Amino acid sequence: MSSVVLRTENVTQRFGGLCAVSNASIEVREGEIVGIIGPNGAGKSTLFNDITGLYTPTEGKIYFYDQDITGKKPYEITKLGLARTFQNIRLFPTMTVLENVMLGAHCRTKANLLDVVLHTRRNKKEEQDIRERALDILRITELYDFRYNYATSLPYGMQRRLEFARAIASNPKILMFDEPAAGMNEEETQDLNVFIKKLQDMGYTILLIEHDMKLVMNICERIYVLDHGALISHGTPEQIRSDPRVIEAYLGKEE
Amino acid sequence: MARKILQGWAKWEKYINAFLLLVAVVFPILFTRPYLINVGVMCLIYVLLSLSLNILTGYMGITGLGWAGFFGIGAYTAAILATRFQVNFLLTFLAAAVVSAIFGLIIGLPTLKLSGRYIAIVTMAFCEIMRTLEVNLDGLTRGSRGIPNIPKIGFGEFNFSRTVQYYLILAIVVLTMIVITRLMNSRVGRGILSVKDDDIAASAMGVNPFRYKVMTFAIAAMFAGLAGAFYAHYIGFIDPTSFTFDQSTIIISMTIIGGLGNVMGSVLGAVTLTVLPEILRPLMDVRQIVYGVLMVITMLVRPMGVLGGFNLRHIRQQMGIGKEEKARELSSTEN
Amino acid sequence: MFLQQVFNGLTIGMTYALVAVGFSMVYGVLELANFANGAFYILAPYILFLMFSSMSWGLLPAIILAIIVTGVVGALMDHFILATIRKNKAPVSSSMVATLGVSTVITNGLIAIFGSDTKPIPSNVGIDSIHISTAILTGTQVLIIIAAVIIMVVLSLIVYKTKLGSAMRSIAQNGTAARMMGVNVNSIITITFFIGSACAAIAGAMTSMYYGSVDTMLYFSVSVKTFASVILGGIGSVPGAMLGGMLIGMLETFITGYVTSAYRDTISFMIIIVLLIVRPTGLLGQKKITKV
Repeated sequence: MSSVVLRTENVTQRFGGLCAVSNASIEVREGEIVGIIGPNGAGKSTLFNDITGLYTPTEGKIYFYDQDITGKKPYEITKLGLARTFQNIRLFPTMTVLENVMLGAHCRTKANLLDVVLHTRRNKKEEQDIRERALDILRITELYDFRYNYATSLPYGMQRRLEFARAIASNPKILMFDEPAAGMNEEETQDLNVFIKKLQDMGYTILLIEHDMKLVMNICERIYVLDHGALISHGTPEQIRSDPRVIEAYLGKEE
Repeated sequence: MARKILQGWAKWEKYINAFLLLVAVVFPILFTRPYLINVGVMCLIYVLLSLSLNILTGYMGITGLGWAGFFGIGAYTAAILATRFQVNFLLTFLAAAVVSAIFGLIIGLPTLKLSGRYIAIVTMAFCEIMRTLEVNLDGLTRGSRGIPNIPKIGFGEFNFSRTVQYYLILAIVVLTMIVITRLMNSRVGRGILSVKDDDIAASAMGVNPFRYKVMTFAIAAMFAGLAGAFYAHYIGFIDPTSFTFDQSTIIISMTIIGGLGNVMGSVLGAVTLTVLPEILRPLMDVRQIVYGVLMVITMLVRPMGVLGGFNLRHIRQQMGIGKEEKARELSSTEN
Repeated sequence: MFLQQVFNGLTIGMTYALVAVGFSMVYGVLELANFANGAFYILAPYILFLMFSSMSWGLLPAIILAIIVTGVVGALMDHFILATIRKNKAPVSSSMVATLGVSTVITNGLIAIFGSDTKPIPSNVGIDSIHISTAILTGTQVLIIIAAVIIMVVLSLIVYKTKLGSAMRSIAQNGTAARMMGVNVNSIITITFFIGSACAAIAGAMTSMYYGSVDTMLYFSVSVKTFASVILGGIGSVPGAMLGGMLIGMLETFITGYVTSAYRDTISFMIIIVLLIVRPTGLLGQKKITKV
């Protein structure tokens, strides 16, 4: 069995009296595509934010390759090899598409104040390398032609793709997508499906939160179901589909 | 129309900058009256101050209100060193920059962890603390009597002429502009912009927002301190009244009205707002009112300031005439 | 001596609390640090001076006029300047800079019209002094304390018990949602500015009567004390602003009385900075959860 990239151990997150996530334990193995689903307000995003360091869980531990990352800052976690996208896209509006992706590689580059001001050879070389790499990623994500446009001037679907590109630029072990299909039409979702598969073939491990059942059922190998902050089910898409608890909590209500 | 002008500016930027520099260089040769050179020097001091605040407010997005505080720290550091210990100006400049940057760290480290909304208030408070200290630490600063007879810039008995001092501050300003431009077109600059745009996303992409804020704050304070040191030596006398909240308002007016996040914006803002009251003498008495009105109008019409938010490099890239594009074409023809 | 200090501190604290509440209400609805608030605070005494000395109006009508005019100026600033900036979707910092611009115009305008020297303000309010053991509570002090308490009770009732208040609080929590629920956001904000500016005017008028004079230097010191009060109490919290104002006033009076007056104004600044390090949410403030 391949090694575990990411593991949460009884993670609980309380805000005041509200318990957003309780006792959630999940694990993601190398090369997998894992989905977390659940109705609105089930605590999916909160769990995501706990893992990526935006929140510190009230209780429980989070491990990245056996390294305890509980309570670490987001930028430290990203540096270890964990990159995310956001539910409501968060790009840098005053930077171009290319610069957004180059920023993604921030934690893989070293140029400091002195290099930059003195314009050292090391800085020039690094800047050129990172630029080439960013352009490559833009080719893969089919954003190359828009590299000098401002990030937020792109149409919605492309902005989503740019967020993926930016996350990939950080050279992560695991990619975490927060509702990647939100706001996409049927065709775009289909493209996304293909794209995520492609990322898996490139060797990335993927954890995603999703509302779109079709996407999740199609591409995820394993699925966790959250409801009211607690994990109620876990298994392959087939198992989830036939689990009465899930149908009651989620599918039953929606359809 | 506006777009055309912008593209033209982007395309000819190098030549326009060279021309402006030429104008600045021949200015004291063409106009030799001490009064005019003096106005020129004051313009350049304010350009330096405005540039320094632009690093913090324009690029980093943190509204720095008490900027005269750092100006004052630089001025007092230089004045005290020069009058008590007969330190040469090169060293007083260096010391002023360093001390000011250290104060930037002292203020920045505890407060920049908080959300940006407090910083304006904290910097304002800081400026006032500094002024109170300048008034009350009599033994060090001579209180409200001020420090007179600060040695002119020069070596030993030899003092630079007014014109040479003009060229000195011009050189400092040009160097500062080069440093800012290099900084902003780099990995570090991207980090700064990302934190300004969205510090949560920046953090998730591996940028430490706090570190960047503190670093930017210290760099900005350093340049303000340098401006203070030059000012102290040039005028030869300083007292706490030069570093009040009114002075801070003047500096931030220049930065914001000229244009946030654009070095030429600071030049435009500082030169216009220094020269305007000189030309329209009756304006002198009400110049603060004029600044206030201009500030409100700017916020209504162009919140980023007249030249604010324009990135000429981006415009060149979008026009397909960027430096990188040319390099690429060149390398593809070689292959 | 001690009791006298308590009385004096209480009086000053009440005026700070009043300005801070007005500031805090505006901050609540817009997250905007209104730098013009201090300018409104000194605008009122100058109107008082003009009406009382030049037009020989009675004290009460002069005060009422000063409060109304200042309140209207605040509402107009919001309606013509800040509302436009909001409509342009510019960041809050733009609004803040605009209020700084307005305050620069007002304070320097006052200097241009009245000069920068100190102007006398009548301080006889027709209430007898109260003697308690060796301490004296002057008529003006009695008036300030009573008026401030009444106004703060009324404001609390408005904020927590009326429809207007619940509209304000809903905007403070979520402007977009409030708009969708049918709250006329812009007029509520303008009304809030009127109330905030009027509070500053009342405090300014009463303080000038207490000191018997007004000058434009007051602008700066009161601005920073307002900031200190709201940060101490917890920014955006109305009861916090009251508590913060009282504490700052007391502290300042005691330090002046028992230690030194040289650093009186610096104390507030020190408090701001120390507090932000130790307890950034203030005494009664609540921490906000970052939503992603």
